[in-house]
Amino acid sequence: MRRIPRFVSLPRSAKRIRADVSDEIAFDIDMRARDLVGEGMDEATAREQAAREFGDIQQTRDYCEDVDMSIEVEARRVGLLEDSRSDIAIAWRAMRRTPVFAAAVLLTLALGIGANTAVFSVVRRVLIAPLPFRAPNELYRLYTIPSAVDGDDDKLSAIELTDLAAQSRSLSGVTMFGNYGGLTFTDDQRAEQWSNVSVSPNFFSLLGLKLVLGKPFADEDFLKGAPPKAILTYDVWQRDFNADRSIVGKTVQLNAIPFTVSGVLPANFVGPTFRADVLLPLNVDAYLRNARMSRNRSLRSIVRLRPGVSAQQFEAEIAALRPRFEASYPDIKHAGAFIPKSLHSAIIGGAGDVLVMVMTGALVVLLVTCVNIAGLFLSRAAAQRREMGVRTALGASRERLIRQVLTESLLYGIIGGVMGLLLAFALKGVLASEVGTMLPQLGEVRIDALVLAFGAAIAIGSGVAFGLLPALAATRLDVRDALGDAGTRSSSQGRIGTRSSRVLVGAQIAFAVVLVVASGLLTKTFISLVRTNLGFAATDRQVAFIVNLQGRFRYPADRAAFVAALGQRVHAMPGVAAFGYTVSGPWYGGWEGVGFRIEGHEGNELAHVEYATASDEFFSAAGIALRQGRAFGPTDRPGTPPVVIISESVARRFWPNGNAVGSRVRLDNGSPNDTLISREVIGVVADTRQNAMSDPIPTLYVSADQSEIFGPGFVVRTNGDAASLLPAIKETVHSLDPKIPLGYAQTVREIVSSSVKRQQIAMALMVMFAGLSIVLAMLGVYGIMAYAVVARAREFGIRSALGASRRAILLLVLRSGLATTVAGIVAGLAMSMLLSRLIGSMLVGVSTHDVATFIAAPVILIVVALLACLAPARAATRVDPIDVLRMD
Amino acid sequence: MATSRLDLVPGTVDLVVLRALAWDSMHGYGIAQLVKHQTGGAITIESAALYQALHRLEKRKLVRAWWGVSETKRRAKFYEITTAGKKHLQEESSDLKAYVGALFRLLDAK
Repeated sequence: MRRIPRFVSLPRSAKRIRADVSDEIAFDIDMRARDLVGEGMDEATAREQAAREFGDIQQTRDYCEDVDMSIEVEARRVGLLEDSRSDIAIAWRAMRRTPVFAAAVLLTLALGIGANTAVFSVVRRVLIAPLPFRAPNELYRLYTIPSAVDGDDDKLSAIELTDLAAQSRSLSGVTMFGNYGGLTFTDDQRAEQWSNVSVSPNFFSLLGLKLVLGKPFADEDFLKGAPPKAILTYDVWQRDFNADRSIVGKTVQLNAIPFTVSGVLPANFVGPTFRADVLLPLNVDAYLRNARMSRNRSLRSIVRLRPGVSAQQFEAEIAALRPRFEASYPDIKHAGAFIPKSLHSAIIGGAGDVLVMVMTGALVVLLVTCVNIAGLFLSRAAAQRREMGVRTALGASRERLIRQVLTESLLYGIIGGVMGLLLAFALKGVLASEVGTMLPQLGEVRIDALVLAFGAAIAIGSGVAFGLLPALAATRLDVRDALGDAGTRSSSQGRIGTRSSRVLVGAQIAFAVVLVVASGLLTKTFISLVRTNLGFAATDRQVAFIVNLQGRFRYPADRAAFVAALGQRVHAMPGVAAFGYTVSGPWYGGWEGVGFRIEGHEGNELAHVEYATASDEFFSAAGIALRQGRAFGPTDRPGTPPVVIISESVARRFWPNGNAVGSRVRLDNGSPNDTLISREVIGVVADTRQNAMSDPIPTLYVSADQSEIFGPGFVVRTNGDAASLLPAIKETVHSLDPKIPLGYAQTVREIVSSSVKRQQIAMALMVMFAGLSIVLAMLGVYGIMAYAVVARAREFGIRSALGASRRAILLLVLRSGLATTVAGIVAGLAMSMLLSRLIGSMLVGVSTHDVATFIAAPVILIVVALLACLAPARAATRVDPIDVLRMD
Repeated sequence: MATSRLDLVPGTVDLVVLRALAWDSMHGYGIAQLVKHQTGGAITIESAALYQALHRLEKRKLVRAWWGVSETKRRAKFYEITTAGKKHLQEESSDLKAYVGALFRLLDAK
């Protein structure tokens, strides 16, 4: 007990206690000495004897000080509790006395805290929580320089990746995956569309995946001719097999082939770049044995750095290895051009930007909320000055008063926080379902301890933030000043309050400008994206779906008969205008590349374009415009002369003179038959792009009926709402063959709009935040002006008594309101210039310093501020000089 | 200074102080004086022990203290017995009396 912790501040300080103990001891010795002198002793001897008689002075002093300190600490502890209790009671009473004020404060706080907590719950899940792999920081995805035609920048060849694994010293492993595709799962009752990915042998060990059931593929599963094995995802296991724990070793029918289930993936498994239902073995050796396949850039990869190796070291190694790759594989364009990117950012992708931006936006709104509430408290504090003065006069310390004001704001913070958390629980569902569609499947968004802690921290933080300034302002006062009549009138104190509230309102306007600018930029982006010409019609009149016929028909003629029957029945449905099919709709991002040579061009290089098929009515159904020549028709069937249609960019690039139609080409799709067939170019159609953010895809279309590859992508154009036809179409497919699944059914508009979802959500949230901040800023301006007008009523009265016109007074008030607004706007624009980079990655076709937006935002806020000033200004013109002069 | 003066039996200082304060509120020096006069100088309390006892009793809420002005017009710390102090005094002194009575009987037994 000798040392009192410094943070316990005692009303009777340690110094005071020491002085008191000394005084008490000195008093005793003095009294004794005095008595001794009275008995006839001389002064000096008397003092000496008195001190000696006292006993051990130092020990007594120490003992008494210690005891007194402990008394004090105890008293202080009890006192603090009692004070806090009374503070809370006072605050609670004040809240109930001003229900409207309290409701306004609590509501805005709850909104701010709720929005922030909800957004943070998503941020935590996506940005903070580690990936569900072993040592995820060591994992990188490899990208490359894409070749001019085939667009994928994340696919490499088997031979490059195998070579890299052999040569690199920085890596502990390279795993590959590819052959994304769809399989039809069938059992006695069902036919379902599953997506599948094939993975190389070390996929599980490299990622450090622990299966919930069974085991990873064994080495022999990867051999040619091995019995087919499959590993199911947790979801499929739950959904289709009722979490049957004896599933391992059983077979499932995929494309009518029995696959033995080897294991089940954990629930938190995240497909790096894919969402598959089932994993299959990838036979890398088969790739390597075939010269062409080994060099085809068709595999994606993940590498694991050795512990302690940095990304920079790995990059340096890649750079050093590159010449060797270029020398070894002259036939691969950009051979060895590996570009690593951490798996986390590869998986999070653009979602990270959106989240950081939304989180920032939400925090700014909270900041504005706090500033606004601080303003409310400040003007109320002005009204409470008399009460504070009285309490100071009665002996309350400044610290005590500050604590009381802070208690009130903390009480608001806590109640608002609880309301906010409740709101967050509600918002979380909305956010998770909306944002979830664009987020990688990283597991469920939950409000866990960390999120709750975040919510509590911002609740308490805002309580302190909006309470502290008013608390300081309210207590920084002269007792006499507050108690005297000055308390009822504009005084020096009043001016200080006004100045701080002006700063607060200016800050609110500045933040509002930032949010308005951000929402403006995002809105412009969204509009430009929606208006982008995709090359096909993206409306609700078209519905696209996949009917997987793979492995269902032994002879192509049977398949053709099925498709013809389906076409006939669909055409018979009301409102159907066209029925088409293709290998994969352009809205899905196409299918795969193909090489082709133009006949008659000696020694011409093999050109690569996107390969697609199209049925007779496909272009009409998809709304892809025919530019030259003709579309496929009944004459283009197996047995008739083979024909192709190319898209504009292919025509421009390879036939710069515009004479594509009538030329002949030979395709090279890996199958030797292809190169033998000479095909005539019969038409040119518009280029398509997958979505507004992707580039046009140079495409070559083969007549679907002349192609060996049958595509399962269907599209139906109607004259009305296409989605309403879906049940009938499904029913038709089922009645034709119950074992054939129909999946991914959506209107084309829905498919496309999901691609701009990121921008749409960002825009929607930002517009909401901006709107909220405008309303708050407006309230702020109104509050400060209304208060200023009341405080300056005397001045206005005198002015009007001296002959100032109403108009002059009106302008006077508006001008003073505008001064604050303009200062806020200037600050806000400066901040926007700095912060707009934050959303740069989300802007498409709009500059981060878009002039129109940067002009519109200030204009909006000036108008809002003027509107907010209007009522107080009119009130100022109505001040009666007589009333004011009588107040003296 | 009486040469026959007895030092206080350890553990009885608190009791003596409380007894003195039960008489009247006073400062520390007053307590020492009172004890000296009441016992004809037979018992004196050493000031060191006295003040430590006072502070200890204050912490136990058996006495309470305030700063006042002494008869010599000096700032002095005054002590007053509390209700709890009076109760404590009663219990402890009957215990002590019983103990001392027993002690005398033992010493007188020949």
